[in-house]
Amino acid sequence: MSDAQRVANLDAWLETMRGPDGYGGPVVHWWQNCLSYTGAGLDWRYEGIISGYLTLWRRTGQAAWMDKARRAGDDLLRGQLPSGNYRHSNFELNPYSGGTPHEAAADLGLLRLASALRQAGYNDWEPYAQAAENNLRRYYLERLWDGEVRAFRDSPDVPSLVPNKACTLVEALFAWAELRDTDEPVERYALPTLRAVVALQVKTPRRLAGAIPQNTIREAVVDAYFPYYIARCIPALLQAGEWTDDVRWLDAATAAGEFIVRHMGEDGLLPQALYGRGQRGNLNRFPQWIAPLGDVLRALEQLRPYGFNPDTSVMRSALQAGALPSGGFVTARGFAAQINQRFSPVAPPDFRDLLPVAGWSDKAFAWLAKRVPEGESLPPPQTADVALNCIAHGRPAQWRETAEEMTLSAGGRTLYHWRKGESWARVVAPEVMTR
Amino acid sequence: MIDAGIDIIRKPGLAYQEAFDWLAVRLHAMDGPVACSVAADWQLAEMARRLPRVPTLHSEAAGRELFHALGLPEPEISPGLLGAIALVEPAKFPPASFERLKPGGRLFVVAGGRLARFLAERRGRAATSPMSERALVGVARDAGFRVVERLGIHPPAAVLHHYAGEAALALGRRDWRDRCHCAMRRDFVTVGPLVSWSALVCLTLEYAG
Repeated sequence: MSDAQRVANLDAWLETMRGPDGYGGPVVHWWQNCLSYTGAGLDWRYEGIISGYLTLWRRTGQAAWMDKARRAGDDLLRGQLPSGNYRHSNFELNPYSGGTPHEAAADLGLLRLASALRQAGYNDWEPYAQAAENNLRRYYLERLWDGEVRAFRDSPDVPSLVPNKACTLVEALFAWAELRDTDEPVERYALPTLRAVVALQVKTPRRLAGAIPQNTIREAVVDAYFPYYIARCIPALLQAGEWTDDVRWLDAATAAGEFIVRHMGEDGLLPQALYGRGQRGNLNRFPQWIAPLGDVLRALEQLRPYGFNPDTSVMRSALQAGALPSGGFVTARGFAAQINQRFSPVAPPDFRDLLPVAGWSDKAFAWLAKRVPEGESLPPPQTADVALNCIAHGRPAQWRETAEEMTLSAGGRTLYHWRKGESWARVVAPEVMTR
Repeated sequence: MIDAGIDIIRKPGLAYQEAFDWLAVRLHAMDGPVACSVAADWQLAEMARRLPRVPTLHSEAAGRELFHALGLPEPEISPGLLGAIALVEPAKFPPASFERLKPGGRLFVVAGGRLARFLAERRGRAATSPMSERALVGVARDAGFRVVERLGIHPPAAVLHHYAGEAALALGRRDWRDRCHCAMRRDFVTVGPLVSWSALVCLTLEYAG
């Protein structure tokens, strides 16, 4: 299957995930799951969806893709609250507002949309820019900026820094500065925040060199290192390098890239998290992300012009192999091993591995869209229903997905049932009530 | 921040998140009109953000400001009988709105279990204390209801996983702590004999009418 075919199928699948308020569906994640609420999530899925559609519009020249990017932007405009926050922006923690980095990622999508519309001569780009600015000013600058530390907090109440989230916000600040032709968002907020991030980057031991810890709380560094999240720091560091011509930002980005490549397995997958500052350290390998690898590949490819050119062909293949007949992408491998970290390659996958999530598959979509040949149209989608054996709560089960619904059943019982387009699942059995 | 003192970006603890999700799934699956009755402003916010079209029958909450902050129109109570009512931590049973329930209708109730006193939201609570699950079920049976579903949220197994994780962290094993946290989430909802020993109990009661 060609990447253009994968993109066409993903587009068709994303259409099945739309409800009245935007792109919905269940979410599985390392931290928590959100299986009950299935309505629109105005979160980081909008970064990948808008970016992907804008890429398709540029590569194919077809206005239909711009229309879809604009429709996604309209979802965010309609879902913006009087506070400037977005409704249900917490992804795996939904249905709540104020999600980080999710609102910043949605802002980034809006700012890219506004910029693309303006460059193409459309005169209706301003509302998208204003919605993003409203969120950035009223939530991030007014509530999360810590003037003493000169970085953004993850919570208004707790001194904290989460580097990957801060870096997504920094990307939005750069996009804001570019759109409005002003230095302030970058000089006053983005660069100081990135200095705080780079100050945390590990130099030794070699096992962790280049890694960036997941977060700090009350100035204490949490010594957990998630390769996927470290990849999400790279684009902001590169933008700082371009802005300042200071090679130290590029060095930090390259070191992060080297860390990721060093921990890439022969199968192209990354461990979920590394821990500890010692030479040996510890590891929670599973679940290993698949659809999210789009973000990792995007980050590593952005390093190429700076001389960092690792072989990512195996990672690319791992992502491409994740395409489901429905058009969505499998989320991960090894959710069943999340607790004991004992993975069986011959056992059926956990249903959470197979469950395609709009806010993970968007990462695959955004990356794959860049591989569509310039000037070519996408082929017609070729999608089909999914019916796969799996494991749910340690027991054999069946996962089914059609254009209309997602169902998990075991032993004649329905454990989970979502009618696509609805804001709540119809059935969530106690076995899968695992927030 | 709204006048009622509710910050729309704040969340209750995991047990209440799970309980309100359970209510939302149950109410969403019902045909016909439904309603809810809650005891506090933050509980109204939890219901409103989940099911904005479900009206509140009885609440001391400052609803108008809340719905404005959430960017939602305040729902109106429809006349006629209801297929289901959600009750969150009722202080008495049957509730004042009980006569609105049609025969065969359902009450979806969130009540406190034996570990409820450890919930952060319960600390420093006002004078009206919610009924315990045990007391509530006793009165409900006398009033013509039967229990058709019973779940416990944050049962002892989840508590044990939490403390095992804290012990692992004290030993310098954050990786084990994270695994314990995942186990805690896996075992966060229970059915069977340990339901009463959970922090919250979710009950589905059917009215014989």
